[in-house]
Formats: sequence, structure tokens, C-alpha cells
Amino acid sequence: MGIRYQPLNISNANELKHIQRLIDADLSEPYSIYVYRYFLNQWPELCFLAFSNDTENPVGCVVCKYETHRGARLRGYIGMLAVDQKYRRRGIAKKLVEQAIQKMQEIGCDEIMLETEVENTTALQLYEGMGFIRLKRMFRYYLNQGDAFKLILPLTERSCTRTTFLLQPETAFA
Amino acid sequence: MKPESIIKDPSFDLFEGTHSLEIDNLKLDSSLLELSPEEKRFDCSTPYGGSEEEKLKFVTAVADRLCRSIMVWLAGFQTLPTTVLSCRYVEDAVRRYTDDPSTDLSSCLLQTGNPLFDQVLTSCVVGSCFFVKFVSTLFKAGVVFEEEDLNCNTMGLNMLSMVPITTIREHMDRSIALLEAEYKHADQLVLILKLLRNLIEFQDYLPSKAEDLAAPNKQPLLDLMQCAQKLKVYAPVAPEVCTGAFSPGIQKRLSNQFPPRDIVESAGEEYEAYVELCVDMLKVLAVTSARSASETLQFAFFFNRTRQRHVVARAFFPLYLMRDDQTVLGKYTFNDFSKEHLLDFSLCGTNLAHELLDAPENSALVQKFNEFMQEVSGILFEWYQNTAQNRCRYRQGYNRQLLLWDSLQAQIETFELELEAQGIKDELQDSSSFMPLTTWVFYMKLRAMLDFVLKGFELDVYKPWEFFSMFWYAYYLAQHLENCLQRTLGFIEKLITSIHNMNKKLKKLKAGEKKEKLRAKYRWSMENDIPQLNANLKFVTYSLMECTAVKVLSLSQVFHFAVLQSSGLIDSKPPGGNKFTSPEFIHKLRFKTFASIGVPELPSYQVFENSLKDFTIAEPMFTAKLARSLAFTKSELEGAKAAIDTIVHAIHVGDGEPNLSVNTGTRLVKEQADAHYSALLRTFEALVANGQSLQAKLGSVKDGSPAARYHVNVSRPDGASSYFPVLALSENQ
Ligand SMILES: CC(C)(COP(=O)(O)OP(=O)(O)OC[C@H]1O[C@@H](n2cnc3c(N)ncnc32)[C@H](O)[C@@H]1OP(=O)(O)O)[C@@H](O)C(=O)NCCC(=O)NCCS
Repeated sequence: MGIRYQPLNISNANELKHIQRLIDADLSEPYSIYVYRYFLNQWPELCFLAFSNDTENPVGCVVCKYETHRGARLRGYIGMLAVDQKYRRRGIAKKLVEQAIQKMQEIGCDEIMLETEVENTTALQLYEGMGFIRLKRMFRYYLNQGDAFKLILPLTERSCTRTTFLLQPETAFA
Repeated sequence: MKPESIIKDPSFDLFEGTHSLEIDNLKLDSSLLELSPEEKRFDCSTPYGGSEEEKLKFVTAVADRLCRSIMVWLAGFQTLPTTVLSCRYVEDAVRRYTDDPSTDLSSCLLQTGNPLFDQVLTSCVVGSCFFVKFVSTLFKAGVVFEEEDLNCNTMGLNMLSMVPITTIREHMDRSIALLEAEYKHADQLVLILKLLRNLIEFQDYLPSKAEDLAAPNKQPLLDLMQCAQKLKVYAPVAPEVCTGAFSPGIQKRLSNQFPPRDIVESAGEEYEAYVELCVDMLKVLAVTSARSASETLQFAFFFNRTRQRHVVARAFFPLYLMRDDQTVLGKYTFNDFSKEHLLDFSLCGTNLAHELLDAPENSALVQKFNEFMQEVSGILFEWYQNTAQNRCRYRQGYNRQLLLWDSLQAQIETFELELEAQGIKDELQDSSSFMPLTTWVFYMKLRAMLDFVLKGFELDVYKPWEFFSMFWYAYYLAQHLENCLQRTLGFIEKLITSIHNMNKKLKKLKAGEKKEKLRAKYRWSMENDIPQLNANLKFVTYSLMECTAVKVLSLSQVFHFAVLQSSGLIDSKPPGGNKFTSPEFIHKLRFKTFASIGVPELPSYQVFENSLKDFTIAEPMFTAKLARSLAFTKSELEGAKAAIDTIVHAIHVGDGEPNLSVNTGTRLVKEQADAHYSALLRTFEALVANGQSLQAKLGSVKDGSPAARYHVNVSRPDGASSYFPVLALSENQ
């Protein structure tokens, strides 16, 4: 079965609906339309969809953004990722994430960050297989969410230097 | 508008996005909440229940659920609207109070015409609200974190802000008296009221006045605990008894900034949670009996370690210790408290300490020293505050703190060098300079660094392939700490000897002014320095034993990793780390926290690589080398285990026992320290056993690749330390 990957077409209002459908399927509390709009309208080039030739609608998507982090480095962020149940374990998520990272690398990101729940072993396997490491654990027992890990993939040396020292190079290397 | 255009405020960020609501979205719009007919019909001014007996049953059911909902909120990490505020009587009372706030309870009394409701249930409601107000005060102090530790969303309602505790007390006492006099079968309700009656007393533990110096009154906590124990035997009342009295409706009726949420039912563990809360509060209050800075330090280090304490106790601890009146426990000024820490470790008996005693308050020396004490206080308080955090924040807290310790060390070292130039100098046996202030800062910094690294194992932050570098670095840090402690120990021993030597000199001296002067000095030192120096000697000896044990445990882990790597069962390289990044970048990111630390310098990536090579075992004579390596590890482990045995013994016997060679400073946290070190003992056993297992599985002549038969898994042996998960081999399926 052939899978096509392509960036979001922001002018096609249907695509947003499908992204919502794919992402909401796995969330207990949905994102509001503002979250989707926040990502998709500002960084449409960082959203990729996967299409299978046996069905019309997209079967997977990844949604990202990038921003300057504390004025010191460019940080890419993977906000959402989902693949339709029926299409899992075929390498679709991996391909989507790779495309997104590649794009963020081209843009000049120093690192890629994301958060995922400690219990989500599937996502952890996926990202850690690409070189992401767990930088910290976050306590989130609030509302029984369970802890989460913050994962980072360093793309440049800047990712490996503390922000404080990126901002004041003279003290860092004095 | 085209799909590609949006109208967005520049300040609207991802946080705003994920916290925004959406009208007409069932999952995000609480005005769409559907309430049941019972909820809609529910009326707070009706005395539910036909007979008096049924009314009592009803009121008891509401009171029980309300009382439980406080713990569902706090111990279950839920929100107020889905717990306490879901009680219709609470909503009704505080809404009326919010509209008409006053110093009495006139606006929030129930008016059903039945005293069980109007008096007793009102008491339960106002007592609960008063406690919510107390927790909000803790929350506002900003010690624990919103949404991960605690949610204090009162939906804009006024939780009886102007009502003094005495009014609540009186109201509740009247209710208890009423029940005891007129209701024979109200035992459970009386217990619930008494529990709440004690709960409101928490407010008085918050130090606010100078006279809070007096030992805290533990009675309310003990009584509360007793009530909770008794209430544990009653099963939660079936929700049907008071259908409609608890409802998510408040989320619909009041302005709600959050998505609609179901109300949270009791899990049945709530009274046990009350017991735990009391145990934890009592533990925190025990810090008032600390006799020294090192006891306070050890208290903080251990009290929240093996079990995360109740969020209320954690939020309370720093406020109780470091008070609004700028004192520690109402006993020390911040600066004195910091100085005590130094005296308890490396400063006592030094020339600097003596100069500080002699110099006038306005001298440059004292002033500069005090400035540093202020710096020390700032960081020390972060350290203390950090010990009360949840287990994840605790590790993150160090991340920031390390920079502060590091820069303080650099500054204080400069200061001590200046002092040396002025002739204020302390030397070790070999005439190298000791620098008591720098030494202490370095000790605190290394301790924090080690804890940061090892806590990562507990939190499962490292994957098995990272175990080598992390344990090797822990070993490296432990070596530095060991060295620092050995220097300190040597220095203290030198001081003690030199004081005792004065006595010998005295005997040789002829009578005269010189002799009298020396005699006075000797007496002064015996009286003032020797007791503290002896205590410090024992504390540093203990610290050294612990450090050696940690060093050996880390080293053994390094050896075990190297054995596994030598057999091709594990690799220290990240999987798939080459497509977008490199193993070196990943390594550097992992060690980012330490890259800027001046001393001890972070070894380069190459040094890490080479050290693994050094530990790796290769043919020829693989079997013999492996046996030697594991035998070495085993003997090291056994040696270091003896040190922990000594520590555990000292904890049991108790500090102050004159025959002990160590002083652990754990008198007030005996149980927690015992648990911590006993877990380390089990880790020693587990590592010895793992070594034997590796030897048995990999030691014989290799027939085929071990990877075909075995794979590595991370094992956390029962009861062993969470800081040292073991890399064990399992048979492939
Ligand atoms: C996570 C998710 C996107 C993976 O999609 P997918 O297309 O099935 O993943 P892939 O087939 O590309 O798998 C890539 C790697 O992920 C890991 N992985 C995927 N499914 C896994 C599973 N069920 N168990 C363990 N690892 C799994 C594997 O390492 C896999 O590599 P491998 O097949 O070479 O061993 C999908 O399961 C999903 O939509 N989950 C719900 C939403 C979610 O959790 N999103 C991530 C939030 S951060």
C-alpha cells in the first residue's frame, strides 16, 4: 500500500478538520480550535499529512512550530502526532516526524523538543529511536494525568549550551 | 475570511491556546453541561429526609462525602470545583457569603428550620471552607506548583476571608455539643465534625507572631488522626442517600475558565489520607527540635525522600522553617543560620572564625563576611525549599541551584585568597591552604551535583545505554567529594591535635605571662572549639563513609556496564543518533547542566569515550579478565557495605552516643534515614548477586554470541535504592 506525505494545504479547510479528527481520537480532553489555528496558521509548512492510496482522507499527521527559546536558540517543537489506528506500525509516524525534523533543520532550528507521557511507551520508542533523550521528568499527577518526559533532540552545538551562557558569551568563555 | 487568515493577539501563545475554551464544544463548554433532574431540583433550604433518623442519615452522608472530598482534592490532585465545591451546600454558602461578606457567619447559614442542617451541616460547610482558605494561603506563598501539585481554583468565590477562626471554632463546638446532647446515633457525624474541627486548627501552625517560639501544639493533629482512624471503619455512604447534593453544576452556574469536568467520587482511601497528612505535618513540625544546623540540613535532606509527603506538608515546610519575620524557626537570623552551617562543618576552630569573633562588628572583615552570609542564605534557602518539592521538581531545582553554588564558590574563593594575603589563613598538615568557606560551598555543590545525577535514575530519565556515562560521572563526582571530605577531616584532626598539644606545651612551660596566656587559650579552645570540632569530626566521618559507598556503587555499575558492553550486549551509543544529530551532541546535551561548572571540570566527550575503552574487556584471556574484574567489584562492594552498616548502626543507636565514631545528624528523621541506607544495603547485595549472575552467564568459554541468548533489562530489586537500578541479563524468549 503506497503512502504519500505532503505538507498541509492551509487553504483547504477540510484538511484542518481531518487533523482535528486524527488528533482528537486519542485525547481525553480535546484541544480547542484555537490550538489548531495557533499551530497551523502560523507554521503551515511544519504540518505534514500522510495519505494512503486506499482512502481519500489523511491517515496520519504531525503538527509542529518553531520559536526562539529564551532569546538564545531556535527551538522546534512537535506539538501533535497521530496515525489512524488501522494504519499503525507501518512506519508512517516515523516518516512524518522525519519530514518535520528535516524541515525544522533546514529552517535552522538548534533543537527539537516535545513532551510525552511516561506511560506512552510507543511514542517514547519512536522518538528515542531517533536520538531524542529525556531531559527531565515532569510531575503531573494533577487530574491523574501521570508524569511526562520532556524529550530533546539536539541539532546543533547551541542546544548543548545553557541559555545563560549563550546570552553572555563573554562570561561563558572568559 | 480565508482559511489561511487568523486574527490573533500577539500575546496569544501556546499556553493561552491550550487553556482556551470553545463555545458550543461539548467537551470544552461547561455551559452545555447536562444536569440530572435531581440536581436541578435540589434545594438547599429543604431539610431532606422524612423522619429525624433519615435526616440524620442524610446529613451524615453529605458531611462524610464533603470531608472525603477535601482529601480527594488534595491527595488525589483534583480541582476544587470537582470536589469540595461540587457540594451544593458549600456552593450555596460561599455564594451567599461572597455577595455579603462579613466577619460573622450570618450570610452563610443554612435556613431549613431543622438544626441538623442549620447548625450541624453549616458547621461542616464552614469548617471545610475555612480549611480551603488555609490551603489557599499556603498556595499563594508560591512554594508548590499550580496544576502539578495543587489546584486552588475557588471560582472567584470568597472562602470566608473575614471570618476569624474563633467564630468557626465556636460554631463547630456548638454543633458537637448539640449532637452529643440530643442525637444518640450520631457517632459518625460527631467524628466527622471533630475531624473538621481539628482541621481548621492547621491555620495556627503558620508562624505569624513572635511568640510562636513556643513548641507547636500537636494535639489537634493527634486528635484529627484519631478521628480519621475511627472513621476508616465506616464505608463511604452510598451516593444515592444524598442524590443531587453533589453536582458538577457549579461549573455551569458560575463563570468557569476550564473545560467541564465530572465530579470526582471518593476512592475509599480518604481517611487514610488524613492520617498520612497528620503524620506528615507532625514530621514537619519536628524540625523545631533541631539542635544544630547539620541536624536541620539532614532533616530537610531526608524528610521528603523515601516517600513524597502530603502536598500540604510540603507547602508548609519552607514557610514554617524560614519565616516571614526573617528568622529561621523564630530562633536564628538568616545570616546566623548560614554561619551555623559553616561552623558545623569546616569553619569551627579556624583562624578565620577566631578573627571574626575578635573583630568589631563594623570592621571590613565582619562586613564582608556578612555580605557573603547573605549570599549563602539566598542559595541555602533555595536548597531548603527544594527539599520539599515533588520528586520531579526536586531534581530540576538542582539544575538551577548548581549555577548559584558554582558562582558563589568562585567569589568566596577570591575572598579567602584576599584574607590569606592579609594573613588570615588556615593550613592543612602539608601546609596547603584549607579555605574553610570555599570547602563548605564545594561540599554543598558536589552533594547537589551527585544528587541531581543519581535522582535521574530514580526518575527513569536515563536509558540503559546512558548508564555508563552517568554512573561514571557519578563516580567522578564522588571522587571529588571524597577528596574534599578527606581534606576536611584531616584539617579537623589537625586542629584537635593542636589544641591537645597546647596542654603538653603548658606542662613544659615555666610559670609566667606566656604560660598564663597559653593556658587561657587552651581553656577557651577546650570549652568553645573542642565540642564542636568533635561533633564535626564525626559528621564528616559519616559523610565520608556515605560518599565512599556511593563511589563504589557507581564504580560497580560502571564495571557491570563494561562487562555487558564487552560481550556485545549493550552499547553506550544512542540508537539512531546519527540521522539528525551525533552521539557527541547527545552526550553534550545530557551533560549541559555541568558544562559550565568551574570545579570539578566536566571531562571532555573524548575522556568519557576513552574511559569506557579502559574498562572494556577484550580477548585474549577474556574469561580470566572478566573473573578478575568481577572479583574486584565484589570485594570493593563488600568493603563499602561495611561503611553503610556502620551508618545504619549509628542511626539506630542514635547520635550523641559517645562510643560512636560517626554522627549522622538524623535524630529527627531516623526512620527515613534508616529506610534510605537500608535500601543502599540491599543495593550492595543486589549488585554482588548481579556480578555473580554476569559471571555465570558470560564467564564460561563463549559459545556463540551472548546476544543470541540474552538481553539486558533494567531491574529495580525489591527494597533496593532507587538511585541504582541494576543492568541484569534475561534469557531471550
Ligand atoms: C505514536 C503513533 C503516532 C505511532 O504511529 P505509527 O505509525 O504506528 O508508528 P511507526 O510505525 O512509524 O513506528 C515507529 C517506531 O515507533 C515505535 N512503535 C510504534 N508502535 C509501537 C508499539 N505499539 N509498541 C512499541 N513501539 C512502537 C517503534 O520503535 C517503531 O519503530 P519500529 O517499527 O522500527 O520498531 C501512534 O501510535 C499514535 O497515533 N498514537 C496515539 C497518539 C500519540 O500517542 N501520539 C504521540 C504523542 S507525543
